[in-house]
Amino acid sequence: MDVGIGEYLALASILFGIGAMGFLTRRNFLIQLMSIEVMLNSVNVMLVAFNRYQPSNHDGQVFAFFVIAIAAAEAAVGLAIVISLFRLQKSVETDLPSALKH
Amino acid sequence: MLDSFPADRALLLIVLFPLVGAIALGLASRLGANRSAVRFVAVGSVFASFVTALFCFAKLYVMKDGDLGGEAVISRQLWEWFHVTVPGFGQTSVDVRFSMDSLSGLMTLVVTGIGGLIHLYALSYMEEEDDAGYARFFTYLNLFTASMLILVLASNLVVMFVGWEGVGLCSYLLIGYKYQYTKYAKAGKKAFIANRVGDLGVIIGMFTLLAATGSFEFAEINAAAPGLKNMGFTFGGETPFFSFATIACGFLFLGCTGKSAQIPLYVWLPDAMAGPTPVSALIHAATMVTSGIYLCCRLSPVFLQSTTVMATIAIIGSVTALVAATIAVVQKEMKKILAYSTVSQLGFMFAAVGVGAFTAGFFHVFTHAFFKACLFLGAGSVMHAIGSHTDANIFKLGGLRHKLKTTHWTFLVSCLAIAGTPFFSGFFSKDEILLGAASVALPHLTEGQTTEGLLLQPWTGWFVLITLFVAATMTAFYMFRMYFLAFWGEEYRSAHGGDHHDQEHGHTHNDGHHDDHHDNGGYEPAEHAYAAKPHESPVLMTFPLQVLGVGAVIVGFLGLPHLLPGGIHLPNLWGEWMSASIASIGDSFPALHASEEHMSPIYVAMTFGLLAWAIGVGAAYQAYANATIDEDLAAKNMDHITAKLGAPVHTFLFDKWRVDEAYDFAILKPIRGLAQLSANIDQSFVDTLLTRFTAWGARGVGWVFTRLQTGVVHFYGFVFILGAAALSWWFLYPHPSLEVRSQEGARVTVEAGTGLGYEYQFDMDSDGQPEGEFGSANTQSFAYDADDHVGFVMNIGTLRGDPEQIPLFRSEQQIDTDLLGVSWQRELAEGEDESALNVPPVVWVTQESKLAIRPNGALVRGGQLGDDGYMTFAPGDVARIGRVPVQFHPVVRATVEVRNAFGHTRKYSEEFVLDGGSRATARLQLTGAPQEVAR
Repeated sequence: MDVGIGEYLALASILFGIGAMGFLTRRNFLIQLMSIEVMLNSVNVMLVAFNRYQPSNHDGQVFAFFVIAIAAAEAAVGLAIVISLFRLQKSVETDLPSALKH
Repeated sequence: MLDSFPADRALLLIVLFPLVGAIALGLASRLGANRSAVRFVAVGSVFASFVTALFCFAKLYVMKDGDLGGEAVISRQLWEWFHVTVPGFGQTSVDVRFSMDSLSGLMTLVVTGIGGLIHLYALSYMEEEDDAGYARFFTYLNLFTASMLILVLASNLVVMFVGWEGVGLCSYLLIGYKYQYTKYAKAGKKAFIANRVGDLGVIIGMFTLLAATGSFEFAEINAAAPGLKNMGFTFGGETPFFSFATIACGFLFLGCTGKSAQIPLYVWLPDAMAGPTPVSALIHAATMVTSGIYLCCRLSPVFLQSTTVMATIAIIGSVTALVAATIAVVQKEMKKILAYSTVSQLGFMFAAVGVGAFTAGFFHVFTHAFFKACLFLGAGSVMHAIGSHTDANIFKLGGLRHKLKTTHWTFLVSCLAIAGTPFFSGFFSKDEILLGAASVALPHLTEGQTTEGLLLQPWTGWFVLITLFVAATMTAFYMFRMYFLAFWGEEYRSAHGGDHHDQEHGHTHNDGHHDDHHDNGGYEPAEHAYAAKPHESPVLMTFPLQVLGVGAVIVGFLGLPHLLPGGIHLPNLWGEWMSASIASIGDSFPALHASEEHMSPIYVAMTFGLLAWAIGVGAAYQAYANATIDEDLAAKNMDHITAKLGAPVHTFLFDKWRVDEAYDFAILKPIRGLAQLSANIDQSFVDTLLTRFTAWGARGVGWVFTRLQTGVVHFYGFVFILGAAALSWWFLYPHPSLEVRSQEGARVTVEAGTGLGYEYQFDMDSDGQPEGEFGSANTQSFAYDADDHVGFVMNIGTLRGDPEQIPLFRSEQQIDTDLLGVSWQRELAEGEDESALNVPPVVWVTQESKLAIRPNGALVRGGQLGDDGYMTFAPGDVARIGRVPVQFHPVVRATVEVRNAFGHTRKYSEEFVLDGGSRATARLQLTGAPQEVAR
């Protein structure tokens, strides 16, 4: 089977859609973090795929590494927030906290 | 030896000695140094400068080669400072250049010589100061000397102005030397601000001269001076209403009134006596305050070009002399009296300048420097003797002649000199001033003056002569009043005088502590009870007094009257020295005018001078030689003579004509009012309207946006996804736009809006088919043919302004007669009735794409008349219907098709009138596209 750019982009779009839907519909903070990771990874797939058509440089791949690093940092911060949230209200449901509302 | 003396290089040394001294002393005051080292540097630098100046002056004498009146200048350019471009003169370079001629040479000798003596005196006078204060005092004093030397030796106005500002700064610093006391700090500020007002005048005067002569150099300005009389603002008349000479000299004189304490800016000088006494002697008597006269002498050829300014100077000078003398008569403190005396004597000098006797005025500067410095130092010696820090009240003194022998004789000769006692220096210089005034008053008796084309009217001379006579009489009177009250009388009145509290300073108290300056909140120093046993000052103070005292007697002989009654000729060294440097009426010293046939001015001047001396001194002797002071009157600041003036007059004079109060009312109050008004505006407008309303606005907007902060994470996520979708859409599809950049004839250039990865394809010729392939160029030029159009419009020029534009069709249409204005009808043809004229013209577009007009009842001109009764026009032709022009233009459509990286394409069209270059306004956008055109 001949896999071209279109297939990669389709995969990335589907992944991004899954992530977005997960982020919007679930109430569990941990699941939402995972959804964000899925969206970030869909972007990585796209970056690497595009880079195949630009063989003279590796900007896309380099960028993908940056995204991975940022995703790791984001996960660390996000999990810290999850723990703090859990300590505060014994739950990780994201529609409960409202202390920072206007 | 003098022949090989490098005088031009030595000029720099004259300035550098005190300047380097000031820097060294400034460091010493910061870092601390041995007091004897400070003494050595302070005095050594000034005396080194004096010796160098003496050599230079001697060199000048050698250069003149025996001819005293000859022109000799030592000049040295150091570097080019900057250059300016003057309209009409091109580029002028402004150099740092020093030069010395007779005028600046003598002034240099005064500054360094008398300055050196005063430095010497100050070594002892300031002994009580702590080490840092001692060094600081001499830093300022040396810096002053350096600045004054820059002022004097400068070869152009700019460098002179550096010195001018420098001495002003040092004056401020030295008046406020004891800045811990508010009184002194205030006096310093007052001097500084009054001088700033004058300095503005100097700057304006400088630039006027630059604009008129193209140079800042004194020599070049003076050379160009004769032309300045006839240049200036004419206001349509033949001769200038304000000549450049009048403007420049007027403003320069304003600067002089500030620096040299003349009406109206003289108020600072009496307050400036708050500074230590050596400062008063050096800056506020001998040198700085005379720089105004120096400037007038330096630019004397320019001043001579303006009668208005000369008369103003003469009148202001003589009135100042009189006013200050009336104030001095009633004062009770030695330094106050001397301060007003200085203002008065400066008035004498300016009166001399005003009547054209520049040399006489400068001669008085010279003699005045000796006797006034001596008087001030004598007053300082008295203060030292009685242990006073502020001033010496003459009502409390008396009999000092037995105790302060040296101070007494030097003070006496100086009083004799300033009073104009024959054969003392003041006699000769005052005589020359009166002679200058008399020469103006009696023009027909003065050689070199003709009654036609007089510079000044005789009444000016009479006014000056009479005013100065009265002022001179009062001078003799108040000087000897002070002398007799302080030095004569049987007793030293301290014993019972000390009980009286000073009326002027209600809260003054006699605490008796000598060194405790800070016991009254820093407002002003306490007045101490005078020492019970006055003692003569140390030799370091009496030595300068003796030198100056001798000078006060002898320096007058430099300017002996050229001619005495009986035809005795005397050499007038001064007049000859100055003749090359200073211009004057008839181009020489007034005294040189006198000839044996024309003796009257000299008689008049001498009579007035001797009368003034005799009356003044005689009256003072009668009144005060054996006077006793009435304690009750003394408490009211009066003595038995001044009490006769009556309390209101006395108070008016004692409060110096209440001029400070007048300034307070006329200037300070309005300024404070303005400040209050500004503060109110600030509070009501800026703080309330601008600040508070803006803050409310920001808060309101913030309120709206805080509603968006729901705190619901899913809402944020939803907005985020919406934004991502919008961005995706934006990048997925191109967003074309098109603008017409230029139209030149039929050639039109359009430009499409750019975007990331866009490619463009243009269809310019209105046919809906692109002309080329997709390319990266976003501009396109196209020359339209007759066929490339989508419709037509007609511009109907209206008489009011912008043309009206109407679309045209293949079918006929009537033109709205409202657009055609009045008188669009043609003449009634034969056999027609009136109603035929009311039919408006009909227009349409022919198959050949031409405009056809059937005139009907209208008058139509231009175009070609066809067989079938209508006229045709090509695009761009101008026709006239009645009086309004009409023009016919095709409308074209340009289309751009844009393709982005995703391969999506979108089109954008712009329709516009092709006006064929006949109108200046390109890009007339057509509103309401003429879609109904049949093709």
